[in-house]
Amino acid sequence: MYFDYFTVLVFASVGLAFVFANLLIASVLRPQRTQDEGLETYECGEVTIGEAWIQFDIRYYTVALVYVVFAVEIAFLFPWAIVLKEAYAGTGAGAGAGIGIFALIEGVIFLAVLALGLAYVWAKGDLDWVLTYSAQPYQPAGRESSNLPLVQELEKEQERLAEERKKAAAAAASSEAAA
Amino acid sequence: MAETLFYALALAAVGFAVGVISARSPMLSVLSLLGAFVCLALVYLLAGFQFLAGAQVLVYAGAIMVLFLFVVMLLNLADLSKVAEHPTRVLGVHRVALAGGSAALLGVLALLASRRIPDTAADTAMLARGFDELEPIAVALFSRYLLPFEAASLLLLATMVAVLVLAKRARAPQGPREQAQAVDAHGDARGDASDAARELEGAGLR
Amino acid sequence: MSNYLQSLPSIAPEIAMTVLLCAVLVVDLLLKGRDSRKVGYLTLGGLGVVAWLLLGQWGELGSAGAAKRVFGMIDIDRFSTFFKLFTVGSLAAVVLFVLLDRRERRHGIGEYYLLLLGAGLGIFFMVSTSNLLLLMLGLELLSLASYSLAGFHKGDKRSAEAAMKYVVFGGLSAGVMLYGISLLYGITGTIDLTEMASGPHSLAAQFSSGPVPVAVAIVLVLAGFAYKVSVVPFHFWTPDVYEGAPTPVTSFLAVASKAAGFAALLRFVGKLFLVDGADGAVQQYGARIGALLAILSALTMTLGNLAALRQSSMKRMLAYSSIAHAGYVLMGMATMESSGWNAAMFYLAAYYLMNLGAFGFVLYFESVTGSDDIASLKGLGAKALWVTVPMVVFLVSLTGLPPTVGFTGKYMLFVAGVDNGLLWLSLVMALNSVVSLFYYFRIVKALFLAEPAERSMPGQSALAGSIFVLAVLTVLFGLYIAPLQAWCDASVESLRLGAG
Repeated sequence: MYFDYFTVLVFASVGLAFVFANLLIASVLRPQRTQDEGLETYECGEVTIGEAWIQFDIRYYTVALVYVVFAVEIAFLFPWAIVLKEAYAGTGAGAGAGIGIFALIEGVIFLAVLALGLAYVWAKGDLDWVLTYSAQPYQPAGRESSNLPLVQELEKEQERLAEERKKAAAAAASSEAAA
Repeated sequence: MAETLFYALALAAVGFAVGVISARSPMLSVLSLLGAFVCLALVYLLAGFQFLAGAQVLVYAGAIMVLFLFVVMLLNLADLSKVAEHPTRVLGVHRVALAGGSAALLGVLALLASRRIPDTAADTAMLARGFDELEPIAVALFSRYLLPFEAASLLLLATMVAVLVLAKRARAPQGPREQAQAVDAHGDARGDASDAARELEGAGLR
Repeated sequence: MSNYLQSLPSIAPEIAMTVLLCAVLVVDLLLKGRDSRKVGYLTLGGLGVVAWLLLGQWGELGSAGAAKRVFGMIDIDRFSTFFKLFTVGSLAAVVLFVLLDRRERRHGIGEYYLLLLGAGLGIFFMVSTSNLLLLMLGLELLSLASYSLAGFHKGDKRSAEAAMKYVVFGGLSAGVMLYGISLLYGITGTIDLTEMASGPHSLAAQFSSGPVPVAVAIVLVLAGFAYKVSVVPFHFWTPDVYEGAPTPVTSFLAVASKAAGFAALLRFVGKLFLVDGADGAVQQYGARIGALLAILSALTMTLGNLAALRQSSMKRMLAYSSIAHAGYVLMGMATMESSGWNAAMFYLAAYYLMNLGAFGFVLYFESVTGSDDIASLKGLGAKALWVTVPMVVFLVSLTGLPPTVGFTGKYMLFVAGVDNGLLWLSLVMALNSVVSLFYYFRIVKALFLAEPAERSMPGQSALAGSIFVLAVLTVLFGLYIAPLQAWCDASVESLRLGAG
């Protein structure tokens, strides 16, 4: 019986090998320059804010729970599909037992009870993602200035330019007034 | 061959289980749990329960795992100092450990002694039908075990409601109509309004 | 398949409960969460229908001991009907508590009733099945609903703590019990209790060939039950959960949930070791189980009573007292004889009445004084005689003094113990009853012997009325014991005969 799962084994090992082989190839091929900027998290060129480890909203959990319930349902519906097919085709283990229509009713009851659960979740608004109540306008945390040398230089440069522009404008205004 | 594989997998499952409770990072715990689930699925496969192995991967390694991941992400792990403020005394960890440890010890005892059990005790009817195909399971599920099957759907429904009730945030009544109804429902008791306010606050209404 | 259709009327109460549960959910959704009291009234009405169906079933079963098995796993006998009737009664009382109490009322959203019904349905499965799979499903249905109910007061930290502890200990015990069941299945090749007792690989036969695994499996399953009924090594969760949970939920946990655990335990032990015509090896093995139960019983009642002495919170005190009462019921079981089991059944019935009443009283005074401290009751005795006099009746009954149902129950237990060679345990119980007198009467002392308080008492006549009815029943069944005793005898008889 071990050969029954030989293909599964091959599939799993090729899949695993693919992951690690790619990592290996990348580590060989990529340029080995480690500067401070290179170690920063890449976020579309933006400077990252805060940590990735944030507290999730509980609504993710709600959706995951509904998913679990329906995953269990799927597990039960596999045998259901088999038994219905067997019973109607008149072959296999279920043949002649008169199990078909019976199983159909049972399965429908099972689904109806779970559908009630879905209706409950839906009607209670747990599937609505955009909340209308307790609406706090989104306020991003104050952006801290980056400690990267390049960015700091750029910021300083920008500040300096702004100062110069102000000074030039003031000088122009005073000369105009003198004229 | 089968026996060696079984012991290897069982050992790996126990190793992962130890990893679940000993890992420092909750994320590592969850990943160890995933490893334990997969090892169990392989044990089922080894015993010839294809369907059970599939269901194990689908439900546990798939769905339950996602649930655990979200639970971990629900924790505010950035602020671990808060955990230290709530002493674990409330959960009586040593008691849980004691109870679990003695259960495990009993199990090991049973394992040692079970060499004397005659293997004729197997469910002969089930064995004759075989496990490696879905049909016998399906027929048994929809005839002999139909009541547990339907009870399972009720269990799932109750679980869904039970968890959603606890997970839902208290919602402040909106508009004059709902507020009036809320007051009506609260009755005329003194101090109800402050109670309700405290409750909303406690429920973490942000 | 036609035999399944024919046996559908036998599970009419279960079907009615399921339909009621679904109806409650749908109606609550249609009402959009407003005006949830209507859902409560619907629940009460539905429970009335279920009770009517159960009474019909009780009558249909006719002569004592009649039993039949439907769907290959549900035993329709007087034993299960007895517990189902009491479950419906206590569910109705809990729903009334929620509907009538000023403070609890606003928590009474539709899900409250829905979860109570779910727990009730779990109990229905638990008390009537000989199949360990369905037993486990029923147990989980009951437990999951209870976990959520224990944490129902959102924002109350103690309620959250109660739910958390309940989940952790409940999950652990369910795991231990499942482990035991899996060992039993491995040993006997079946998950049906009747087959386990009589099949070719029956427990007794397997015990003689390899005693350790069988004993380990049985002990693990018993541990799961012991958790549910809070017997001593597994009682840690009880005081904290009972104290933190909303009071109506506490009354449900203390009464219906605990009695359901006992019902399942009685059926488990009864089907395996007490059936008629069991051979010598089974009886010998049963006697060892009895000895184990006797030791647990003595430990449970003593520890429960001693811990209750030091409590200042009424709910905590009643929690420890409920641990002690579990010990009394176990004592009846430990005799492993019909007379002892009859007494245990009778005591469970008495326990339903007096504890529901006592928790109703706690609920009443919580909404007056805002706490469940015994000290806060000082001098309030004369202010609300309609509630305080019934409470005295409940306390007298809990102590085990005449003329109440608690006295009759304890007397029957005592006699059964003496008759079946458990004289030492009977004496331990008598001593414990004396100890319990001290803490029960601290409440009476606070109520009546302190300076009358100045404060006024806002009346809750409907709630007081339901407490009063329970007190009347407590005295009534204490004076006219024949009907209740006949019901208990018929129930145990139906268990002994088996339905194989």
